[in-house]
Amino acid sequence: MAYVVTQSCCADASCVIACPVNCIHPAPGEPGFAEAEMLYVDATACVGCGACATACPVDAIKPDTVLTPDEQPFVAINADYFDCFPHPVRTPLSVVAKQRRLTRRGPFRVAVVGAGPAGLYTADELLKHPEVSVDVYDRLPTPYGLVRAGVAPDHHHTKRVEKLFRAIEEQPGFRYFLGVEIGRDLTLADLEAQYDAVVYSVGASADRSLGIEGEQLPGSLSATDLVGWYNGHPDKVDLDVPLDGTSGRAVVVGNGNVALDVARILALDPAALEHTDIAALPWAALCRSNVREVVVLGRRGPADAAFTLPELVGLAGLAESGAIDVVVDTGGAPPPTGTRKLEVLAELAARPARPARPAAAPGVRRIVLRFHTTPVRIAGDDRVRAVEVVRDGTTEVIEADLVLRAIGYHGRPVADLPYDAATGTVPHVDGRVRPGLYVAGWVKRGPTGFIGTNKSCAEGTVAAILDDLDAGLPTPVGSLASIASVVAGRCPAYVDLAGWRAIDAEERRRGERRSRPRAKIVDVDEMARVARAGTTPTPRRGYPSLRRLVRGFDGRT
Amino acid sequence: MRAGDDMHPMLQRIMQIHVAEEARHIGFAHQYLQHHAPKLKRRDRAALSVIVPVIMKWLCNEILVPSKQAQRDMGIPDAVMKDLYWDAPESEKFLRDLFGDVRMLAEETGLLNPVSRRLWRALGIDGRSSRFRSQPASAAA
Ligand SMILES: Cc1cc2nc3c(=O)[nH]c(=O)nc-3n(C[C@H](O)[C@H](O)[C@H](O)COP(=O)(O)OP(=O)(O)OC[C@H]3O[C@@H](n4cnc5c(N)ncnc54)[C@H](O)[C@@H]3O)c2cc1C
Ligand SMILES: NC(=O)c1ccc[n+]([C@@H]2O[C@H](COP(=O)([O-])OP(=O)(O)OC[C@H]3O[C@@H](n4cnc5c(N)ncnc54)[C@H](OP(=O)(O)O)[C@@H]3O)[C@@H](O)[C@H]2O)c1
Ligand code: SF4
Ligand code: SF4
Repeated sequence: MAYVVTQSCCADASCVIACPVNCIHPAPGEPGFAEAEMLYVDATACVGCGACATACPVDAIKPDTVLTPDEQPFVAINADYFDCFPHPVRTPLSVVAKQRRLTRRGPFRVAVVGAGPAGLYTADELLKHPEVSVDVYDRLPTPYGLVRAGVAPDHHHTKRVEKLFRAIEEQPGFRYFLGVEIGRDLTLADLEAQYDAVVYSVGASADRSLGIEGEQLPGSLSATDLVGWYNGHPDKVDLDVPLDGTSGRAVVVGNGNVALDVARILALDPAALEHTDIAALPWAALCRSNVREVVVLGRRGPADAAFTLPELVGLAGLAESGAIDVVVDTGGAPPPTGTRKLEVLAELAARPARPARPAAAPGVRRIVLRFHTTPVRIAGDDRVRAVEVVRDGTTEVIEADLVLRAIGYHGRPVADLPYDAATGTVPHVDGRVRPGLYVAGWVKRGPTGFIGTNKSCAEGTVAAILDDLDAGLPTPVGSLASIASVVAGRCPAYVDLAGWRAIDAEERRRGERRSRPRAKIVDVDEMARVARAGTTPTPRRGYPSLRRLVRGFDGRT
Repeated sequence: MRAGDDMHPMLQRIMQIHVAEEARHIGFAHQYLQHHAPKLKRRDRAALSVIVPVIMKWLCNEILVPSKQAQRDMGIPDAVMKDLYWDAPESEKFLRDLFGDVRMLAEETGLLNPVSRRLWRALGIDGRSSRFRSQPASAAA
């Protein structure tokens, strides 16, 4: 029995360390790791011990005996990799360097701004050093960044990474200041005065624009906004999403993984999303949706499609099971072959297309993966009516009421930090903006890569921090307690770890009633209220504890 | 092997096979226990929770600590023995780190309660649980 890496792999490489025979590759440090869409198990070397599966934060690794039909293609995908890259020279175990220790005694305090994957991996890496304590800030009362507000609701395996984040939060030396926006409630100068080092991991929250006529019309939205809307991001709850148009069609521009996420959410039967953590009102809106066809436009050909193979295989599985009808439209040209991704596309293209016009087709909705097509104008009077596109020099009009640009995220300038407008990132060397000030995650690398990519990214940044702590940085003022009172002064409603646990518990409780993993609270004030109510101590029992009877007070409060 | 140190190729090969075989046994054992632990009666679980750390520590000593005979044969002074097994701060830490995976298993099978936790501490084998099997322990763990 061999184990197999499947769709949800986010390339964090925990499994590599767990494997007793070093048969999972590419490993960090090996060529190809930085670009890898996923990792692969060498079935000929695997002894089937299952250690990797215990290490995987997103349950991506499974024994080949329990794969669902949708997951079967991953057996060949894992094998393919080793056909191309056999990694003939392997150490018996993946080598883990001895942990580096600080040469100065500390204690040191580090502030991390942004509680997304990059921020939490940075905190985790720092907390391996008993000399260091970490305070993590986020502008929202809820942490986890795009894992909460980006990852598609139907990717429930991926959401399990929350369990790892919980383990990171539980470590001694970790504190949360949630609901505190750096640049508004506190400034960089405030942080630098009180911490030995400050790390920004604020992500890339804006979208890129197409720069074509009609982009500002109502009904033309960015995927960034739509993703935040269906995931219950408090800034996006009021988004106006016209799903009731008469054309029954939505157009998605760009064909990266975000484009596929958005297309899937629009095309899936809402019943399939009922038991996910999708936000309540958007789900209700999707239930009433008229959209019957989602056209995903790629300006280049299938060979240059930006979505990854694991995600395409996931979509093909939905097509196979009949949940979504998928059509591949290359404009008459036979779909190219040569890579496994192209083969999966060709298989999809060879499937018999369902007849009937989109608006009339009952039941199953359709995703059209259309290639070599560039949008040139969005047409409409007071709102979007159609998209004008060009393929091979011919102009065509696609009727649609909703146009979503999924052409990549883009970092906004961060208050008090330098900014490179071209890449939307903060200029840095190895994560260091200057000694004492660092970046990690999308604000450092730009908006590409998976959740686990941020782990190696954070490790790089932490190495720079340790270098500088060893070399000596100015000693900050204050103490852990004084910092907490400064934050409380500026932001009385801030949420700490206990508060976030209270919100989390309440969301799960509300979700349970409707057999959902959680029912998200989308209002910031309500979040703060739940956090406060959950952390004010209430007697756990109806009778006084023994301690209270003996000592006259309860040690817990 | 983890550190990538040079080793005699034969020794390395033997260790490699040993590690792989053990990993399978451990993998099976963990799954077996996780599967069966929820069926334990309350009383049995309570009893096990205090027996497990004692047995684990005893086994560990059996495996790692040289016998009196061996100590005499190798001429190791008593003070060094005391430091190595388990008095010096480095040894204490080494001992605690050895048990990271076992603590994880004990946690997952519901064998950690306030009483047994104290016992783990008294035996010098307390600390953070591993997040997954064979996770390297950090300096802070
Ligand atoms: C739609 C979408 C779906 C994705 N799905 C997957 C997937 O299925 N699998 C996968 O592996 N990867 C996925 N990714 C990629 C993954 O989400 C990213 O790699 C990762 O989230 C980037 O982490 P980050 O910490 O740099 O940024 P973010 O996750 O964006 O975190 C940044 C945090 O900083 C906070 N912040 C911003 N400004 C401030 C401020 N001024 N003060 C305080 N806090 C601030 C924000 O509130 C946020 O919590 C997806 C990405 C997107 C966009
Ligand atoms: N694993 C997952 O499930 C998952 C899910 C979501 C996101 N992610 C990751 O998150 C990152 C961001 O994803 P993303 O989809 O936002 O970005 P992306 O993968 O970079 O895709 C951007 C797409 O937009 C197209 N595009 C860019 N500019 C355009 C223009 N002016 N006109 C028309 N098309 C244009 C690109 O086409 P060209 O190729 O021709 O430039 C490309 O198809 C990626 O690394 C992705 O893998 C992962
Ligand atoms: S099952 Fe064991 S041997 Fe196989 S890949 Fe996983 S950790 Fe390695
Ligand atoms: S998500 Fe991480 S642990 Fe899981 S398979 Fe991928 S690299 Fe391995």
